[in-house]
Amino acid sequence: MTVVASNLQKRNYPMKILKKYIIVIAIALPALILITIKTFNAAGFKYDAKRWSIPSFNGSNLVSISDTGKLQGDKLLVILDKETEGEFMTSAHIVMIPPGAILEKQHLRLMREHKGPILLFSADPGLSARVWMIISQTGITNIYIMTSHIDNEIFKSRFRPDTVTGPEFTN
Amino acid sequence: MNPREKLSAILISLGLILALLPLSSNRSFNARPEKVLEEILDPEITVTADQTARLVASGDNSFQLIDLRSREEFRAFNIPGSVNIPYNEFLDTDPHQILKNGKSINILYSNGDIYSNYAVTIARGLRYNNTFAMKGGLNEWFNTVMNSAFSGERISARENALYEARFRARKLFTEINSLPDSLKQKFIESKRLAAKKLDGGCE
Repeated sequence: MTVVASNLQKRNYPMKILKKYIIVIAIALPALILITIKTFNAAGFKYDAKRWSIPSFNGSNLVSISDTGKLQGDKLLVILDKETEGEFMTSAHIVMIPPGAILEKQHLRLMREHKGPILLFSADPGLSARVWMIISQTGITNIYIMTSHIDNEIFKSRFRPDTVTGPEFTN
Repeated sequence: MNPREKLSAILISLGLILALLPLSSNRSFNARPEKVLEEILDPEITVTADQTARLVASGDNSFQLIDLRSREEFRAFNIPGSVNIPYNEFLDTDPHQILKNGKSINILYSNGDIYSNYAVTIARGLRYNNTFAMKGGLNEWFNTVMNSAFSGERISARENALYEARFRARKLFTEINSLPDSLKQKFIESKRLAAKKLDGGCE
């Protein structure tokens, strides 16, 4: 009799603990679940926006078409707009992903699982820059903007100050 | 379990959760990814050089221009009324201070399209939805506003308004950027005062 009672007591022990700590669990568990989802969600943004933006600060994520050969490893070319698709038909690993579908699970998985540099290409360098930033914030690294306008951020005109005529001030 | 034990257990659990969080004081994108993607693909995330010129020429101060070029480039010349936040310092400074400045819209620009589009994506990811990028940057500003001239025999009312705004923005740009740094702010204030007087507002 005493053995059976002791076994029953042992079996109820986890329930007793659960009841004892129910308030703690009710507070801590949802928080823990939310953090876990945020950290490991493949399509979600990762913590620390600055960390994922670093290559954009020093320009190491920009590569000209002629310099793509210098990148080590198997390259995956992601073409963002249909008009430019035909230009790269000779490339072995080439995918056409419309920008609106770039965060779809299968596309993120393709980029995540690819071993080697991922090259984004669009005729509009502004579009490539925006898509690069959003993909990088999901934690995908080794991603580059392939551009035919590597000098896009270089000022191409000349400003001549007018020192002859002075401006009028309103008092 | 007495209340003291309960409180201790709660604090320990929350401490463990905090320990799991990555150690960083930097901000993270807090908008939904699909929402940010939708916004950055909207053509209206960019404003043209002409739209910017119209705002500059109007003397309206409800918008803020943010120049993302280096300090040296900014010192050489900039679009009147701009503040300088070099792109590589964009996330070092508190984005709230830069982008929640009481202005109805923020327009980001650099020499080209790359930095302003990175920065506008960061701004939208941090839920500053009043932020836009100037398409083509200063290169486009010079092509469209600074170096434009009407060629033709007859000008329509719409073209006239366009060239008038370009001319006024160009004049302001040249006047301000020809001044020594010490007089630039004074000149901008003077222009705003003149605009207020024209509108019939009080000083």
